[in-house]
Amino acid sequence: MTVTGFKAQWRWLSWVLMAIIGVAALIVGSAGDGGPQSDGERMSQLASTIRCPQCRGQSVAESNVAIAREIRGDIRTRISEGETDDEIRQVYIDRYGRSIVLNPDSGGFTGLVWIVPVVAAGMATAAVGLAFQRWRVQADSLRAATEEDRELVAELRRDRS
Amino acid sequence: MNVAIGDAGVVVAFVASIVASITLLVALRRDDERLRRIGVQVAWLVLVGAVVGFVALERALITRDFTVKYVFDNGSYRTPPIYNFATAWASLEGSILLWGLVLAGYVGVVLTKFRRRIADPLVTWALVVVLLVTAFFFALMLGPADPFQSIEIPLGFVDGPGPNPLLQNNVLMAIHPPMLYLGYVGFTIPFAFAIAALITGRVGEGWLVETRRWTLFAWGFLTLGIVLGAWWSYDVLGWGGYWGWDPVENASFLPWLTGTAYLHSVMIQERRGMLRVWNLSLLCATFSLTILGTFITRSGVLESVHAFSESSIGPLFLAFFGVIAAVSIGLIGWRGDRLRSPGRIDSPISREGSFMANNLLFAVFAFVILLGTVFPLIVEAVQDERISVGVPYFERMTMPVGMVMLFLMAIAPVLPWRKASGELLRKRLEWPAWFAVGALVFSVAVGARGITPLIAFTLAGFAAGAALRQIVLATRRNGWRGLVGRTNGGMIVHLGVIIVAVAFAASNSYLRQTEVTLEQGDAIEFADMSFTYEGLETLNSAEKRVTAAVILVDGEELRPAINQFFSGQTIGTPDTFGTFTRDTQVALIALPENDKQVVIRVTTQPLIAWLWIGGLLMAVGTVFSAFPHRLHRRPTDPVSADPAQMATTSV
Repeated sequence: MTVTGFKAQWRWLSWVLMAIIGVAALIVGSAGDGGPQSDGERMSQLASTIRCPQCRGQSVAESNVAIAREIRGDIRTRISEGETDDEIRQVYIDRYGRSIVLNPDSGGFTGLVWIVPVVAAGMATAAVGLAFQRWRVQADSLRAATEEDRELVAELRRDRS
Repeated sequence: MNVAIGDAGVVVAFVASIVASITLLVALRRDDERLRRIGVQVAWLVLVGAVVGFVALERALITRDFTVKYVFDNGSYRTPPIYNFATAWASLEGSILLWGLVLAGYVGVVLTKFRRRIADPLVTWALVVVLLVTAFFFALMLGPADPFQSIEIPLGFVDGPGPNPLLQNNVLMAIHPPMLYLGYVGFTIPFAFAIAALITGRVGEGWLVETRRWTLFAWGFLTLGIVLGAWWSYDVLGWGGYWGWDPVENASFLPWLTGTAYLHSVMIQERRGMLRVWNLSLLCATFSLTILGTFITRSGVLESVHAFSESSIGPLFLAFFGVIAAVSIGLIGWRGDRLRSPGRIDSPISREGSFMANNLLFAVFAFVILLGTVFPLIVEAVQDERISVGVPYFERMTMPVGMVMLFLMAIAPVLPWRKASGELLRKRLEWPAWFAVGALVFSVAVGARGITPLIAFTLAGFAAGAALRQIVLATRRNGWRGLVGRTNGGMIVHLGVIIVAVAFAASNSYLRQTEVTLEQGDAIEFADMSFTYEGLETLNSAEKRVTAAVILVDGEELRPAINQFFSGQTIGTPDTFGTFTRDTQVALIALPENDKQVVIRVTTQPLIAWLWIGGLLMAVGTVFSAFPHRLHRRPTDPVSADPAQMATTSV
């Protein structure tokens, strides 16, 4: 066996080994992805998705104004009473309107904020892909001289001589 | 007195910028050397006027000259010297003056740098464009944003309120805004050269070479400014956050994104003469976005925690933005025929192909942020309904883009120009890929869990492997010179970005936060740490009363506090215990009624320190990449080693 042959084989093994270790580590790592571990933590997470009604651009979790503290306390009570995150959020939507949650709706006109970037990214990718396609066609047409080109050259040579 | 001096400075700067630009235009038309020299001399007066204005404002602040309205509104005898100095940019009028000063400084640098080539129409035109932008800012100071309005001091007046308490609570106040402005305003210069290139029709590659360093310079300062801003909010706000996708933060991030895209795509143009329209558009977009961002910051159309200095000048900025956009688009359209380039890109799997993918990603990233930022306005206009677009939206939308960017950062540096074979990729990517697996295994071993962060760490390892490979190969060949030059310096910037990305992913994914009430002497356990409340301490200084709770965190004394400013406002100051691996921040939620019990918020998250380290590394890399790497290769040449050497290094 030649040295390069051996190296090529080793390289192939290296990638397989890499894949095996990677997948194994990912499996170990994906287990036990614990969510919030206490009511206090669950409250913090939920509060960070609710806008503080009296602040400018801060969530209930971030702000220290009275209303934000009150809402945090209320969320905590509701959690201990066994309400789910969605139920609690709904309570605030009913009270303050849709703008109280920092996550825009995925339906209706508001849903556009989620869809438009995806569509735009898709279209931009397609446009770049198309450009490459065109360049390739261009390249192909440049690659070999056609019969026509040869005739042209021959003609010019005849003219000169 | 200060009012008179300051007004004089502003008027001189305004008149000089108008007169200089007209003189230069006439000189250009007649090709009159004498007029041109006069124009240049007048242009210097812009800087003189700006400096005089700024010094007058500082003088008014330092001497507490309350007859100046700006000082009356923002100054106070109580404010400590450093914050008093920084008060010059704590409010709208002052920050516009700082903008003007920085811009005038850039005018001075352009005049010095190009003093021998001022007769070149391209340079003259660029100077005219910069001067016109300068004129806009000084016009603002003559009208709606006048820093030198005078005021009659009312009877019984003792002291002013001082600046917003949030702005006098951290030293970074003195550093972050000037850095940001050096970056923000710096993009005016490449923009001016781009416009000049369009006007003169010299849209070849010459102007690019002139502006590359300027862009890099502005970009570096913008990066530093953004990172320092994140640090500031982390230290001041007390909920463990450093980046809140706030409209104003987004406004500073947008030009950063388009600027970064430009720094990459410009290499395709230098090498292959392609993407001329795109590059010009990116520079125009970057500059326009700084103006649009200022409109968002200053107009108050969007809710932001940064609303320190709203005013009526919003519409003027919007109009200015409109003019810039119209001029840019018009000029690009007019020169369309000259901008077309004959080149083509052979294969998407090549250096230029990866730069195109990079630009695609940055454009998408910027689009998502722009859309999310202005979307509440759109919905309100269309449906008359109020909605909020906040952190959860931005995190979910940008995360995939960020991941693909990390992946690209791993692949792109090993790609040669023109075309790469699968065999070559397998060879060059082998070590980076092992690095990726190593990062993954290490993360799992130290206890990191969850698919998303683990994939982020793996990709980060991959990208870091590719960057290190380039640096190692380059330093092996060229010694210390292997660290400088565009490609190598760029790889150091990449390493900084990767470190920031890892710290961002880790701190976001593994943040733990809770709110607890502690009785004196009580101890609680949270996130494997113990927190004991020992008692209250009160401290009075000239400008505020500080009430701090002494909290023992695993034996370390922390003093989160509430500051009551004598001007009437109350803000908290968290205290942080940080190591290289983990930060624990404790904040007082409210002023304790007595010393028996306090309510605290505890936030603990890993790797915060690396955000700042990564940011610093990005700045260092930027400096390195500004130095030319003149040895065997041009900096734009492919990264690569010959196959023989590769074979020996990779086995």
